[in-house]
Amino acid sequence: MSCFVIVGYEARRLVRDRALPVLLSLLLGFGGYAAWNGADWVQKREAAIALIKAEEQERIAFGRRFVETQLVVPGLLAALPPGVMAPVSMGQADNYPFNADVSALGDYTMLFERVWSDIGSPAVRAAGRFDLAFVIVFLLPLVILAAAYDLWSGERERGIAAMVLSQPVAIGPLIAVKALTRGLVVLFPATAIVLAVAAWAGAREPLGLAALALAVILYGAFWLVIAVVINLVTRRSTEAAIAAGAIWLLVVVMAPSLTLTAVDLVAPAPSEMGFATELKARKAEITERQRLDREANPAPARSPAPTIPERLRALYADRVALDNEIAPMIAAHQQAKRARRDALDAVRFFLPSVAVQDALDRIAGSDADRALAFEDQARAAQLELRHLYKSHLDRDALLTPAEYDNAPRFQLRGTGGAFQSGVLADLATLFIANLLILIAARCLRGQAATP
Amino acid sequence: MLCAKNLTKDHGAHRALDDVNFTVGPGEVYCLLGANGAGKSTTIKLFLGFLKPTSGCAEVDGLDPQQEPQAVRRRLLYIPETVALYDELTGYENLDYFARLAGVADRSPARLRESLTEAGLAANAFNRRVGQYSKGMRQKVGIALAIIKEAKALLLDEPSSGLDPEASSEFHELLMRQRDQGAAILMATHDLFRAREVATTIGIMQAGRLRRTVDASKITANDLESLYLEEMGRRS
Repeated sequence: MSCFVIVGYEARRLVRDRALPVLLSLLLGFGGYAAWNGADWVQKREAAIALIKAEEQERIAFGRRFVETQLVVPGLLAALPPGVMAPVSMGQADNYPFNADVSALGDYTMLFERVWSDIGSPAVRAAGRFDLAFVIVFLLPLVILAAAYDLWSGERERGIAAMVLSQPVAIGPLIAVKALTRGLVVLFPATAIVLAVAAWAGAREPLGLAALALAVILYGAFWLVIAVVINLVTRRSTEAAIAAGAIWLLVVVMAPSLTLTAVDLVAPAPSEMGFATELKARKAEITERQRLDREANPAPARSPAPTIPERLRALYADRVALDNEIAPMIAAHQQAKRARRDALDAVRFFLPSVAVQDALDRIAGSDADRALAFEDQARAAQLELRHLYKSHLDRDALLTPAEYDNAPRFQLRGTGGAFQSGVLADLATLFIANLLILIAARCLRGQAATP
Repeated sequence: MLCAKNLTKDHGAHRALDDVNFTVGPGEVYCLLGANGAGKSTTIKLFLGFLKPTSGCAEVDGLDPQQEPQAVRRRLLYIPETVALYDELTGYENLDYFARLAGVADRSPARLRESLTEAGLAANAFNRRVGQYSKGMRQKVGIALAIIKEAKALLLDEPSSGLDPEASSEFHELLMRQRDQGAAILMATHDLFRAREVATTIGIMQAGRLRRTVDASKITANDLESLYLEEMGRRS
């Protein structure tokens, strides 16, 4: 028989079932609120960045007054702007600094300021944001499972399966077509809802929306295939509902937490407080040693007196020496953090819920990689300012007003797009997960062949 | 058309069906009588291919349901105690759906309506959702499917259980029409009197064995009852 006929009747049944409009309305309600939340977060962060930029302009204008009398290199206030698809996910954005106070002689370790002012409540940080990514990762599976958990077990329970199986039909294709119909009737409207609310919230980049749609469809398909497997092995709707709930709890809630615990055991997060205390002590020790050394060995007076005072050269030399001395400590700390991040990064290839969250974060530009790229670029900007400062110290020449005006400004360079390699890896993970479960379903299909 | 040859089925250590033999030819009605758990439904499920025999075979038109399930099911129609249909669809839509599943060639709206009418369903019920149907109306949709499918054999598992006397009578009249058109009918039932009325042959089962086979035309209702109770181990 034609698949279209089954699709047609299945769709008719689903549409006539009152549960479907309720489910989709709930998704629309939660999605709309989450998107509004995302847009609000973006607005607040943009407002914070606007203030930072205004302060930067004030600083530059203030410094310009002294250009002709002192060696002044304009300090920068670098900021990580929200991505074009930012309303979709706040992801890791709250866990990393989004602005940096970059100055030539600034303390390398104090480069980044953590600004929590845009987090309304500390509880938000603990529980996570209610954004569109949350709706997709946590609630979309529930919508899919609610629509498909009993696609065959319900028919077995009501005796319809016996009527169906007494006709000359092959069970595998029949269940596949039933599941596909659920995909058409539930997953596609759900995807359309997600795209619509994302666009309404301001996430309108076409490629970003395409990547978002792919992520939602692949993740939704994963749950649809899970529903198929559940239906192959259960004979009662209640059994199927319990199995669906348990798998949701395991995949979406428990497994990511347990994995995080396992990663903490394998690659524990280094203590930030311990590191800061140790670093502070080391810096105090070095600074005191430098002070004593300067007092014991004052720089010889130069004649004629240089344009740039010797104390600035000493200050620069001490700053560079201090940074060089603490560099191994910082490198070791970052290495430990990187090892943990690498372990966490690898985990997503085994957990579809983590993979889709990662994909959404990357699409939104709120992923850890983008935040770390910002940190790297801010550090590079500081080095660039230092080189500029050093070149003027060496030449004993102040910056001209033109040089001051044309001094480097921070501009975040490309950190990948909607289809960056990380997103592609996440989508591939979801695709492979679907494929593996489909293979399992194929092996189990014989179990559905009896009513 | 239907042939059980040394049909045996074990469920683990329990023997549900033990060396059962019978045949049902075209235009014949074979009624299986027996208490709950006697093996009547198991026999029907073996013909449908829902269960695999431990030994022996159940053949439909010379075909083994385990080897050629699709070909067998094309020839069969199964009517359980309650014809389970999709509550969200109308009677007409259910018939159309199952007729398509069955691969019925002529599924024109006129033919579908004609089958429903022939099965005794009132025209104003065609487009009502099955969720609002009585049990008798559901059975009629099942019969309509047998009509449109032109099934060569009907497997009925206590089809009139729970029907009121009028609906039961109407249902059996429909069955007789199918029989007269040449269908082979295998019916499991508890209703001795109805069995004697419609059957060509009656088989009395107990504990998985076919204890007695009688020609329905040569036995009175009272004798059948006595025989049945005797086989059940309870002499009246």
